[in-house]
Amino acid sequence: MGAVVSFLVQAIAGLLFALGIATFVSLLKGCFVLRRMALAGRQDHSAAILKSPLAPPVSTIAIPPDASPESLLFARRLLELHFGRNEVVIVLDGPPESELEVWRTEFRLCPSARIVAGKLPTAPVRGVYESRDPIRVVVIDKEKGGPVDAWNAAINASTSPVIGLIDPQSEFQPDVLLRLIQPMVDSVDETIAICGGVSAPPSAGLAAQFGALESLHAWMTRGAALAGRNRTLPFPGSVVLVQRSAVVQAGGFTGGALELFVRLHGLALAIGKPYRIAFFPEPVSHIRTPKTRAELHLQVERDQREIARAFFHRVATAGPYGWTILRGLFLVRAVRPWLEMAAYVLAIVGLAVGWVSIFAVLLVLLATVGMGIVLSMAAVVLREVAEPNSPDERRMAAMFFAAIPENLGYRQLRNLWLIDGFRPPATPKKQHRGSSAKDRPPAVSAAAK
Amino acid sequence: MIRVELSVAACLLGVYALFLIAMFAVLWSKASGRRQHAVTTQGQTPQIRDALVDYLSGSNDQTRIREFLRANRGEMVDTLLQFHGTVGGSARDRLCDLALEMALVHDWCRDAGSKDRLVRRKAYARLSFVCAYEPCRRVAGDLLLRALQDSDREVRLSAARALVQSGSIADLGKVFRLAVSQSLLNRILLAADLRRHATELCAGAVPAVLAGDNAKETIAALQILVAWERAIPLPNLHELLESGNRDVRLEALRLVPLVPLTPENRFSLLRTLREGDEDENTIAALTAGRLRLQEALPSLARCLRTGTAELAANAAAALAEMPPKGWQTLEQIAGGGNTAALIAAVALERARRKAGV
Repeated sequence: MGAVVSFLVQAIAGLLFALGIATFVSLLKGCFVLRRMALAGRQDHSAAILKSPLAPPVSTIAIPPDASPESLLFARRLLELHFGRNEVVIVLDGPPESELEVWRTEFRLCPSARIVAGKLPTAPVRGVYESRDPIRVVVIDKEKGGPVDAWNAAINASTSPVIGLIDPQSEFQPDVLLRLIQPMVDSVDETIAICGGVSAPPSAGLAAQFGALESLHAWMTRGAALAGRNRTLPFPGSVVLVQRSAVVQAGGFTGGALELFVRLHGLALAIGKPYRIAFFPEPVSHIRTPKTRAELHLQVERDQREIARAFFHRVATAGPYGWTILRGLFLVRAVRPWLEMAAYVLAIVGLAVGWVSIFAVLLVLLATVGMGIVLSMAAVVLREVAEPNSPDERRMAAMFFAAIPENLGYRQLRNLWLIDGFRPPATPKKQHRGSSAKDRPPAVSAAAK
Repeated sequence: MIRVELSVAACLLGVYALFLIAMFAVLWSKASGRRQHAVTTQGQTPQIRDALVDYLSGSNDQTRIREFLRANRGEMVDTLLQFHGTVGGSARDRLCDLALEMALVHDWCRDAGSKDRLVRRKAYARLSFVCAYEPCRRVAGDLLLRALQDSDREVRLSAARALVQSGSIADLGKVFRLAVSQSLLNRILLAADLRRHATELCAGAVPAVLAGDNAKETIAALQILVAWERAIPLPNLHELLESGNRDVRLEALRLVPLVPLTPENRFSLLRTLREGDEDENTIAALTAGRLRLQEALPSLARCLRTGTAELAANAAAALAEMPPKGWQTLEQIAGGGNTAALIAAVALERARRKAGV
């Protein structure tokens, strides 16, 4: 028994080293991609695009869960985005009358003549409203169907060829649309989507440093490294622009933005036509740096659930390409936490019972804590090598050395969060989405109420 | 065995960690140096700007400017270029003359021949600023024309923008042809610059491109004309309205309100409203509304009654633009109980509110 446990511990440590090396290679690829992009240079033509009638209009979507001040503020921020033709589409998913009234009052809404007649099946739309004020906002009041249903209703209601998806948890710049649209208009036929943003800036406190490191890893691997192979996936805090026709062709949303991107990649690969999903590593958006451990937990859990959902739906969304697209994320976010926790348990129990030597325990620590420290330090260094623009070297130093406490305690806790978060999504209750939009009476009926 | 594994792993990780720490130390010192440099130069920038403002406001004393140029040439050039877009007329000429006198223009012309595309980009961006001034344009010579063939998009763009400022009609034609053959981003950027030369371009380059057999370029040219949003003399638009290419017809329909309404254009527009497909009808309805084309009333009413949601909304909006007959048509349709009636009612109410009735 002792020999088996000892062998297991060594084998897991070996696997963890292999995974660590693979992660490092991914970080290195991300560094090369970022460096190449930085050397190619990027001009900012925002001023010309702002004034041009040739720039395609954008519909920015918001699915507020309630009528709280935060939701209202987010909608207001979307309306304040600098863009010539930005229409904000707000979908209220089965709101009670009191909530609807709050939205009506906030934006001085009146019934609209707009017809919601898209191709994606959704729960029935009860009414469409526009503002009496000179702001381009469309509010859709629909029967409850869940967030995915609400996203699809928003796509149906959008009239623009480009859809903007902004994470309410992100900090975004007012000119985000102007900046992000540039790669798209530079190659309209090929570019079906763009994912832009940077990693969270570090701030004071360990939770903030850990959050910044977490965000840096995701940005360099999911954004930059995958961009080298045209497999970019959205990362926490990123802003996404996607062609409406591509979303409709993909059959609409089946989950979050990550799942949509997996679907877009899968569909384009299956069709075999040239396509591009661009990565835009400019400081237009980033996830909020967590201030407390609870906030950090929430961010990690939210991201992990989205990854899990995309992974468990990979065959339905991207067929045989689903595994190719998501295997890296699966290994790092699902397999590694389990392996690490198994190694810890086996090593501790084995040491207590006398089945494994202290050297095996040290090997496990090296494969987990040691490797983790080196990888986080490498992420900070490689980012700086790729884009030498750190505004403050003290911040960089703080992040670099935060890699040590990150792996002494937080890493193990995070493993538990990741294991808990990577579960198959619950089978949804039967939703009211049997009728397609064209079968319904048009939402202009709100005007007649 | 396990001791060997542990030793190897520890050594490898240790070496790697040391390498990272060494790299970090180098990056830290570089970042520190950059910050200090930024602090120093930021301190000088306002002084350089003051010196340039003094010069632009009439002072002929260049002593301070020359000192700054000797001490910090890069910062001086950057500050000078920050006036791009904020000065015009004689002040701009004076600034360009200063750049010429300080041999900056010659430096940029030299950099324009660099193999490094980033250096070339910078050089042409700077030249595009100063080439509005004829003496600078003479120094640049045919560099700008040659740059229209450059492999780098940004270089081509800067050269094109410089040529738009100071080039001849023939040069403008070349820039227009470049704009229609490049990406939408290039069209967006060049359309604004070319707008003030619309009349000259419509006399030569535009009809030549529109008469060509490259549908993609024809569509791009029409998009630019629509983006100019100004009246233009284009006598043969009806040929494009009758084109066999649907996308060309759609763009041409958008252009109809911006050209003189000839009988041929009117006929084509009405025919499209009668016989066109859904998208064509949608744009034609918008155009008819803008032109307040009374002959289109029956077709618009039909579109409102039988068209899809978007077409019906556009047709209703067009009818709302044509009181009293258009309003009467809307009133008749609004009397029904179907979707068209609701759309007509909303359009009529909006039109009446707008008219204060």
